Amino acid sequence: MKSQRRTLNTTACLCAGLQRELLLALRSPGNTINPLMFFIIAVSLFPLGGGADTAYLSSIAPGVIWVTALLAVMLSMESLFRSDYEDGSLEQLLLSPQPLYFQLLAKVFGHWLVTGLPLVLLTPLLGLMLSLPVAGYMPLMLGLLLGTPTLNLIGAIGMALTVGLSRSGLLLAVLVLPLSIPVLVFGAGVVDAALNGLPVAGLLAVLGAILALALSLAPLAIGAALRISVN
Amino acid sequence: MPEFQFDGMQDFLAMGGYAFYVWISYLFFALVVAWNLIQPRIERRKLLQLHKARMQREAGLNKQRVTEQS
Amino acid sequence: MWQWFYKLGSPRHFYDMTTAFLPWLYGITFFLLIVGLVWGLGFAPPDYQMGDNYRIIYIHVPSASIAIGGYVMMACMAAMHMIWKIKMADIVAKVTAPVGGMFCALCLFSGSFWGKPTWGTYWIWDARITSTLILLFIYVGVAALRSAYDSESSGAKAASVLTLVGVVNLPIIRYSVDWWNTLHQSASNLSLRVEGTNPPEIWIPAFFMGFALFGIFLLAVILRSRNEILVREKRTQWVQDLLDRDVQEGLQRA
Repeated sequence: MKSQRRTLNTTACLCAGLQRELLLALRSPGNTINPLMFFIIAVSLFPLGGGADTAYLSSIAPGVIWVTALLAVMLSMESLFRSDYEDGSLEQLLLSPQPLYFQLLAKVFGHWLVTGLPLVLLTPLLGLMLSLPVAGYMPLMLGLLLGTPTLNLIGAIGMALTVGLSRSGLLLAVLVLPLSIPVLVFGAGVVDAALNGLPVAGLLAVLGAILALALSLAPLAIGAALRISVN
Repeated sequence: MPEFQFDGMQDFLAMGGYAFYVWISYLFFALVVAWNLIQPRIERRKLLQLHKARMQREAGLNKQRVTEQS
Repeated sequence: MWQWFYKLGSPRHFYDMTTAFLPWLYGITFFLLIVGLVWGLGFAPPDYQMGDNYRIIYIHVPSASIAIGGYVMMACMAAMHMIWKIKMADIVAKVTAPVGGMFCALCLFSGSFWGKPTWGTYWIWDARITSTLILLFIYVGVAALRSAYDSESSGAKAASVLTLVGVVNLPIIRYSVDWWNTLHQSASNLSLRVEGTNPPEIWIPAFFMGFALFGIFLLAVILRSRNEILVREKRTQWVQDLLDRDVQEGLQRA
């Protein structure tokens, strides 16, 4: 029997997982749109709360955009495992013969494509609203491009740990936000450095290194956490 | 041999003008120590009381059983 | 030697061993604590710059090292629980989280009361302070995750995973906060070092206090672990016998 079972190779398995994620996102667009709306609304609260002085806004813009992006990513994590957990497909995923590591990687990458990437593409607009100086746009987007996948991976660990609990939203934030601090520090640091005319390549490299570390280790933690949650 | 650095109790409590900062830190320290050592005792007392209640209940049940049989 | 170590993995042996060991630990700890307190508060000479305010270091520095060391210990226990499924390791990991968190809070609190007269402010975003604060957040997160689970064993595994993720992350957090701090050297460059230049009259009491606080940490962890053992193993005969005996003797002591 064993020889007759069709086994997918790793690439095909990655592609299938990705395809499924994208299809699901297409069918329930709320999961994609809500984090973006949150991102825009939360950022526009800062001028309302702290004053609309242009100089002030441009000084806080990198930090505000980064922190809000971090929160938006955390809020979007709910859709990563929740429905799969409820309809049992998460169990199928854990039981399937394909390597869990790559399946989880595909799942998180797919999730990033539909929530993280739009967030990155939206930031120039928000930079405009917070009168971010011109020199800051490219570093901000590059930083987010390297940083949001890491945030997604860290968030996925937290989500995997809390998916079995009935109300997990706040707990997820308590678990994950402290762990995301390095990404926030270096991400906002990239923009600061660029605005002060300092080189940013080294900082982007650090963000890339953190991403590489997260890519290699996070799926293991996510897998272990999911096994606990699904049980 | 080190000698006492203050002139009497009053001077000791004044801590060279830093009384508030020094003593409030040490107060918090005392609270942490006390809580860490007392909380487990309270917990243990609760456990023992629960067990005691259970023992009494079981003893009562046994007695009942004995009287029913006789 | 190894035999002794393996035995600690069994709740029953842990309980019996600590029963014999506890009076000694109490004695040594309180001896060190009293010597350290009297010496540190009364007999150590005042610092030539900070006057008597520096006496806060006798609780500040030890609590900082316990906060960090406690997390490392918790991570080792979490790893042992994950790899070898040692029940005792998880019991210790569980009780370490609140105790370590409390020492972390003590470190921040005493630090801020040290900072006010020395730096002129209760709080600055110094690298060390910030990373200690984040360590406290992680302690809180681990404890919160465990208590969110209804099932003891699932909560234990989840907390272990989070503890290990945290221990991988902590050096990166530390590095990032250091880097961030050098970038934003705005408020003051008032980093203050007590080590090194001070005469032995100042650091010998610190030695005593360091071991005393470590003893208190150990005591707290052991006492809480013993209660946890009684709760988790309450269906076993030896715990029942032990509780019977303790109740009959009217023993209320730990």
